[in-house]
Amino acid sequence: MKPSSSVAALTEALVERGMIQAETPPPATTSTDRPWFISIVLGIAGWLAGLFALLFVSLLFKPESAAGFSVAGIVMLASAYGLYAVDRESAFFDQLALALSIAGQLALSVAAWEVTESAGGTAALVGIMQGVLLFVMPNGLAKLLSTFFACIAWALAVRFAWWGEWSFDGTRTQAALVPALVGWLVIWIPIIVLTHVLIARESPWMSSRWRRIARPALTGLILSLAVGTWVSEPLGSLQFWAPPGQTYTNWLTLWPLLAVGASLFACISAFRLRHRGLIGFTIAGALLHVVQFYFLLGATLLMKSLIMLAVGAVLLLAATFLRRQGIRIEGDAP
Amino acid sequence: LVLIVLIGIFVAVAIYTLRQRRDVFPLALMAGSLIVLTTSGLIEHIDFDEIGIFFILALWLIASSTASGRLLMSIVRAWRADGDVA
Repeated sequence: MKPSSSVAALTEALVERGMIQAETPPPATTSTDRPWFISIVLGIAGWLAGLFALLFVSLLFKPESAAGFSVAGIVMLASAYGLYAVDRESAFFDQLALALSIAGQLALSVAAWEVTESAGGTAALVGIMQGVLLFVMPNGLAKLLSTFFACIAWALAVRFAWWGEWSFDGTRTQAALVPALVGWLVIWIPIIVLTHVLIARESPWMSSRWRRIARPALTGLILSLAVGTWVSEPLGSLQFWAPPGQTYTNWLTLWPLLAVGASLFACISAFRLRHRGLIGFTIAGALLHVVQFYFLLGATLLMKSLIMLAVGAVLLLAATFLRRQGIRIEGDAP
Repeated sequence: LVLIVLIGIFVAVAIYTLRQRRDVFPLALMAGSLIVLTTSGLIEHIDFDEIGIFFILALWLIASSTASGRLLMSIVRAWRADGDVA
């Protein structure tokens, strides 16, 4: 029996039993399940190619205003869309489209900076652009990257809007404890909830057209939970000492510890999806945030040690509770 | 000498991986390394103006990653068809 005929028979049987809708698009008959590490190689190469393509276009056409960068960005994004839409099976055109898409997004980001002249405003506009691209781009990897960068842009927008932008004149960000906690929760709780809802309702959307958006979006959400906090405060980790005579408290230093929790939630989500590559990535993300917690200035090392002790105690209690629950469930099993 | 050692290691790893038929991860790692190395080599050796360099680099990255992706996926599909990888 041909694979296509067996797939058609299976689809028909599922429709008859009411498990999927009749208008559900048929699944692909050839395997397009690309291993995650090949996607990473292609994604990084596409990103670099996009950067070079933008530099090439910038040198060739010399756009100097927001309008110039906008036109260049829109043209490149439209070209990327065309390549994705016309030939979905060609690896070369996929890569070319990815490079053009990245170059177009970077050009529009520069245009956003030219218009707003603020990091927060730029991040907000980039977030909106990524949200649009998630729905428009007809390619899984492009949708995944859009979701990931939309989450990062959202985190940066809140971070900059609340506590101002980084400055290189030695001034340090000062954040009180409660606003820091609330800020992190405002950024990441909606993403955690969305991830949970998407996994809980995986069966319905997998049997509908929404799977083309929901599947890559879910992966992008998990990736952003794993490393998003680190990406949204990268320069903070590079401030290795306080200026002489200046003492300050910055409770944004707690964000990486909260992000360890988010990474572990992402790890559980990846486990629920049975995605080994994502599980490894989220574990690496959790470790990265522990390192970031050490390097972020804002609390004394003694205070950080005490916080780590408290977190360790809570994790040990949680592990004991989970082990007891597991033993109880095994005991109740017939 | 470094180049010869590098090529030797690449060939050895490739032969071992292709004989094992378990996972293409080492081949993907090699492909990524080769892309980085050849791109760096291009930056070092080609003698174009700025516009030409950026154009060549973008094109090279697209072409080399496409070729790597196609090759790796063909190996993955062949091994999957034989039931060697999940």
